[in-house]
Amino acid sequence: MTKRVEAVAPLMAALEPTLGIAIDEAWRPQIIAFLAMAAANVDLYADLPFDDASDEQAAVFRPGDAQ
Amino acid sequence: MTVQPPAPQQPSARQIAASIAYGQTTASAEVEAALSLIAVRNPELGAFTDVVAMRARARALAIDAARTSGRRLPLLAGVPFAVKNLFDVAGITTRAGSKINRANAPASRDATAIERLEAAGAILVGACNMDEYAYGFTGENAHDGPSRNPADPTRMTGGSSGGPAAAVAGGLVPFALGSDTNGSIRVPASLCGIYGLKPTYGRLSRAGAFPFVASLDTIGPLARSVADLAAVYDALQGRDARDPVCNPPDDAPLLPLIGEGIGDVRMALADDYFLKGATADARSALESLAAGMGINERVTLPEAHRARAAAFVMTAAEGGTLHLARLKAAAHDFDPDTRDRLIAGAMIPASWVIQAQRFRRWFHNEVMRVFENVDVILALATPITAPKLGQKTFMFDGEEMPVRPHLGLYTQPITFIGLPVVTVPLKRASGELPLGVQVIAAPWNELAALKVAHEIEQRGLA
Repeated sequence: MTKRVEAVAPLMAALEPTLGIAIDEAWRPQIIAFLAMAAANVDLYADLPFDDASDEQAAVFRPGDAQ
Repeated sequence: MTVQPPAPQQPSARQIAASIAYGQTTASAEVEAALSLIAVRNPELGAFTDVVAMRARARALAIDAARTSGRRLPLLAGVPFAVKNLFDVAGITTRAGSKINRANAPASRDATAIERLEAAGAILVGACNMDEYAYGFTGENAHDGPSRNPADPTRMTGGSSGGPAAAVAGGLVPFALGSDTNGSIRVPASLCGIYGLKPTYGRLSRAGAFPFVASLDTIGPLARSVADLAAVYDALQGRDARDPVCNPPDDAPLLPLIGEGIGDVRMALADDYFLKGATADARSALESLAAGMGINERVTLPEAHRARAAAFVMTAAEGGTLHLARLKAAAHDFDPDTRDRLIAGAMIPASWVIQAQRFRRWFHNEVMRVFENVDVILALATPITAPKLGQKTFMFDGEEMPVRPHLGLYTQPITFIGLPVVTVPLKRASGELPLGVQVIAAPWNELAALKVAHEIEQRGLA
């Protein structure tokens, strides 16, 4: 997870000015830790192959609809 | 601390309604009894944040007048109930567990769910505690204090519908409404030892319920019996133009059908992901249930761990974006645990979310294939019993995990694809803390889940 934190820190640094949230320095470790946790979760599905048609099926989701 | 069973002495919603209909009691007497119980027990349980006594008394008088005049009473006439404080209640501010929303104007009308329950005769007595903005599984709230588990008030109720669960398990009301995005009905139902129904995504109207993750949010009841769940569900059914997602294919009443028996309903236990990390105690309780129900089949929901991961990311991103304006304006007024996660969520790249949506469709289709061979799948609702209040981590499969985002490990993959689930309390020995099982059905097949849950209850396995 340490590597993950190092990896997402630049993402946070890049996006923080665009968000417009006054982030207290004391909050930063928890925010980065959570972003790192999200990134670790993304690792579990990021490289799964989907074809182009998957996008329209994914965007309009209704349980039980056959696809 | 001695573990207390969930309010066994309290009558069910249907018993209360029948007693009123037969003149054995009155709606006014039932409302006064509920208000008295709330006054006495709420300081200990932290279940309610708002009580609407005047409104409830006025409604009770109207029900009693209707009975006196000989009018036929509706199904839930005179039954007190509560709602999670993210539901709009006309005249009070919808706080959704937050400090920030308390500056908002009072709601101008009730949520659709409250309107429908009151049309069925039920009487709202108050609104209940919850995790801030529904983002948590603990039932702890930085502004209102924690809701406390009636089985052991030193322990968590689970969340985010912690207050409704405490109100029902503690016997303050026979049923309450909660919401479930990732497990927020099922986790507290499991930890408090009561029943909960999370319907199919799009089944029940969410209009007037403060959102969390629009693509996953559902609402539903918590109660002390399956019949009460079904009665409340029936009152809530029907399309609603105020919620465009609410567009169910049918809305037939299910209460008359749940006792028909399970006949040829095909049942199986979920293995693999849904057993990994569960305590020996939890596994044993589930095996006992399977034996009692004659369930020998095992099924695997493929890649459930990835489904949970994708749900985690979608939740963080949608939730963070929903609250961005509030984070800009009043970040210091959030619960710190909620705030830090929402800020992180607002930074999540779109590609992470869209890939999660693609995976959701794939996972949905795979699970639909499993439902070609079974009708109902049983899986533990939580891997552990209620943690102590303030507990930050728990051991899961040899790894120390944070409690707040991880109590819903077994519920998140199910909500991810919008399936209907009834949570049933497992039979426990005296002194053991409650623990629940999810009875999961295919989309729109709430009836199968309710029938199996009812059968578990009738066989004395709950």
